[in-house]
Amino acid sequence: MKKVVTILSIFLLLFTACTEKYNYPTVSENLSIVNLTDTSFVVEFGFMNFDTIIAKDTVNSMMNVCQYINKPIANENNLWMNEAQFNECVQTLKIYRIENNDSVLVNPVYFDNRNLWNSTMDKFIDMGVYVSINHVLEIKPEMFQQ
Amino acid sequence: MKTNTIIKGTIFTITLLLSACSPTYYLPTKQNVILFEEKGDAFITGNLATDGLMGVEGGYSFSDNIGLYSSFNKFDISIYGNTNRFIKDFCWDNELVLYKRYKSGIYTGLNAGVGFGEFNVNNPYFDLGYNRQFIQPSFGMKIFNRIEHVDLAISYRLTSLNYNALFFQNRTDYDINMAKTYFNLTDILNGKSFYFFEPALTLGFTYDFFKIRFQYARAFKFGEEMYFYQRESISSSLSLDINKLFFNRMNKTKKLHWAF
Repeated sequence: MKKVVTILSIFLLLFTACTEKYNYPTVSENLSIVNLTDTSFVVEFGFMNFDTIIAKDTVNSMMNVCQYINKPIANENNLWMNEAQFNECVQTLKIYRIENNDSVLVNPVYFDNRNLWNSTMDKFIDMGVYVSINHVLEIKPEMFQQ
Repeated sequence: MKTNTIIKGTIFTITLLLSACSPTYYLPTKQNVILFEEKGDAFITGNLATDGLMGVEGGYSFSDNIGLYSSFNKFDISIYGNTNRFIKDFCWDNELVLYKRYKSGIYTGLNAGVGFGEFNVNNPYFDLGYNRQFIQPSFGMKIFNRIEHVDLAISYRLTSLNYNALFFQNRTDYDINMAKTYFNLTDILNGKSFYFFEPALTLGFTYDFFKIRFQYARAFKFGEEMYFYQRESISSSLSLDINKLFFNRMNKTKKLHWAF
């Protein structure tokens, strides 16, 4: 009897485990900025009115940036940000460091286009499917305008 | 010993749970075995199986040794999307069946076929089709050697499988790369053919002009292990011999197959 109950339980689990069945799993998109310079710098995320300091040799990640963009991205024809939406998002970034009470900016040509970011998708399955795209940008000293 | 069994059971369950959530693109569909008995047999079949499979099939035996069989099955293993559409994934197989039923009740058969199909129909990113060629020897026997009898058969399908994907033109290279990961397509779109060995065990009940079949089929991929296919399938089917049902209602002992 115990065996029958165990087998039935396994089948019940199998049929109920995947809640994403028939839906498209939502994609969380994250922006990560890696500081490869010798100093810290500031990043202003204009699309979410937020700024942060990224210290030397550290990485700062903004999770699930899609929610800050006023675009209908979560439908079956547009499961992740398209190029235009992504560009619109990163074009609001401002990256600079303070030198002698002056702001030294990173030229936007180093980050204002999706092709300049290294994007990878990760999937994680645990009683459901979790998908994220990580967009990574490395900031190097020569990117700062002199 | 008990701990070992629990660990094995847990690993098996977790593997099944994970595979239940990921899109897959090949299913060891029902193998058509012990179909025909003699010339003139004409079957229509309804088929139900795991993974939401439903199918209709039809076949005709031109002689006591040669028949043709065609089967259309719809199912859902590509998982994501398509809530309201009738067909999500499908395959259409056509087979030439060479068979011999011996008086002792032994049955041998060899099916050779081609199949076509499509996955995740109406997906917004791609059209994914596949074709397969297969041969399938089978060996069976009657357990009770009467007109009403039980059949037991073993069959092995050897399949060559190819995919062809078309990504829509409005999608960028970035979209295509992401779609390959998202929809679990990376393994299958490497331009190579895949080869499977699919053993199946079939239990059949025949009563004059209808047959009921239960089958367990398993798929083993040759070469490097990948995770784009379903490992197993359990199916049941009901076949009606329309020749015996409508056109040739006497059996060999001149007894009516059926009458009101």
